[in-house]
Amino acid sequence: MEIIEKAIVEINKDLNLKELEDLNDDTPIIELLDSVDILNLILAIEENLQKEHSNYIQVANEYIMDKNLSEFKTYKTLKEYIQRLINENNIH
Amino acid sequence: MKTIFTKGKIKAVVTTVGENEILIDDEMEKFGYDEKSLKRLKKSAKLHSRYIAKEGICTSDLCVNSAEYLFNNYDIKREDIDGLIFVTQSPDYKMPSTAIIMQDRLKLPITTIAFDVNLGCSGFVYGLYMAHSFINSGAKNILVALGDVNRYFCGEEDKIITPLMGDAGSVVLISNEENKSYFSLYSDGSGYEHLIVPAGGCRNSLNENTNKATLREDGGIRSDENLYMNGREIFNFAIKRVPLLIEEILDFSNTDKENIDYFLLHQANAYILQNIQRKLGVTPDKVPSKSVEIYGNQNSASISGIINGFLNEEVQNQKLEIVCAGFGIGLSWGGFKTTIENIFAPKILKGVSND
Repeated sequence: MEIIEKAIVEINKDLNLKELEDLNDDTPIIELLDSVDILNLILAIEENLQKEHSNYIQVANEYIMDKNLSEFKTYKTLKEYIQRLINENNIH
Repeated sequence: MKTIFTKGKIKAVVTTVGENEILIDDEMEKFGYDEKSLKRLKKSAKLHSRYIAKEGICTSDLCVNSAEYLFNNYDIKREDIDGLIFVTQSPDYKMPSTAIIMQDRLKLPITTIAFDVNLGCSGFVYGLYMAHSFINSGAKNILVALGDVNRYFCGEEDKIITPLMGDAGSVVLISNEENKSYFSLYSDGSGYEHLIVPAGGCRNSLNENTNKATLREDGGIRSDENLYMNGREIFNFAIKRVPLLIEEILDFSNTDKENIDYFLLHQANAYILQNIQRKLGVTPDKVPSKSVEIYGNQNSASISGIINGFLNEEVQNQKLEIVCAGFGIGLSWGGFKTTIENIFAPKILKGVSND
């Protein structure tokens, strides 16, 4: 999903993490990033969503920083979550 | 707990911040940031500067400075004060309550009710709730003093929490006038470990090891006598609780968000403020968020800090509908909706006056 890829590339400019360069469905996003990085990734995704769909969609939720429950657990779960948010907000 | 008060009006708000302005850029070396990590932190937390009190200055000194300014510049007599509530986590002594010492320093009558309340970021709401309770029980004027000097509990080299914090001491005067306020308060002690100074109380007394600062798992250098914050848990808590709290207060007070002039929220984190503003669907100017960037997180004085730091013209010259909300250590959170009109609110004072 381009929105997420772009956001990850953006935050990785400062982090230079090999795992984020070689992104695949199993990449453990939440394990690789600290809370500041997660927040920056959320901001970048929300910004990209707003640019593309002209709508604010809240990406953060009460579990987003929870290592076990977060949708940021892997790249795959993150993609599924963002797609779900897009569908729920009826934007295409 | 939800309560409607029919009496109690905010008449004055005065805030004194520490006199030393520190730029986050100048703290890079101290906290061990490199250029990139500083850039990341500035982006997410919107950190720019903070104001720190001089060595030896206590929170009570900042609050007394604010109170003296109030008595010298506003039409309120010391003998007309019925109560002084001091909300702080940095009292002068473990015992007695600092508020009682402040009663004497401020030359308030001995008939004044004076006591401390140990609360942090929800303290503005709790302090004003108690003041309104006293007013509705017949008190004429209650002074609520709020704030913290953070060096007494934040690790000097703790890059996780110390760069976020600013020192401030406010006073808020509540008078016995007809005015409806809608309060909603919450506590959830199951999260107490997420924001805590572990040592120094009865549960974990001070000993030769508790003041030894060491590098912790989260990258912060602190001792058990310093404040620890689990940033992830606190973030989850704020995202879960604060938007619901605001919706509840709007519903409870039967007010449309369009009729609220300002949502004055505890200045913890720029993202949380932006998130709430966007969720409410109001313009950014209705949810002021600059205070954390310029003054740092001022704990219980952060809402009063917004008023003196950024809204003093508006609050002095207009009738405004406001919603305030505080959230943090405890875990504890609460909010209220009220009306303010032409209140005394000078620009923020920097440092303690020697006059």
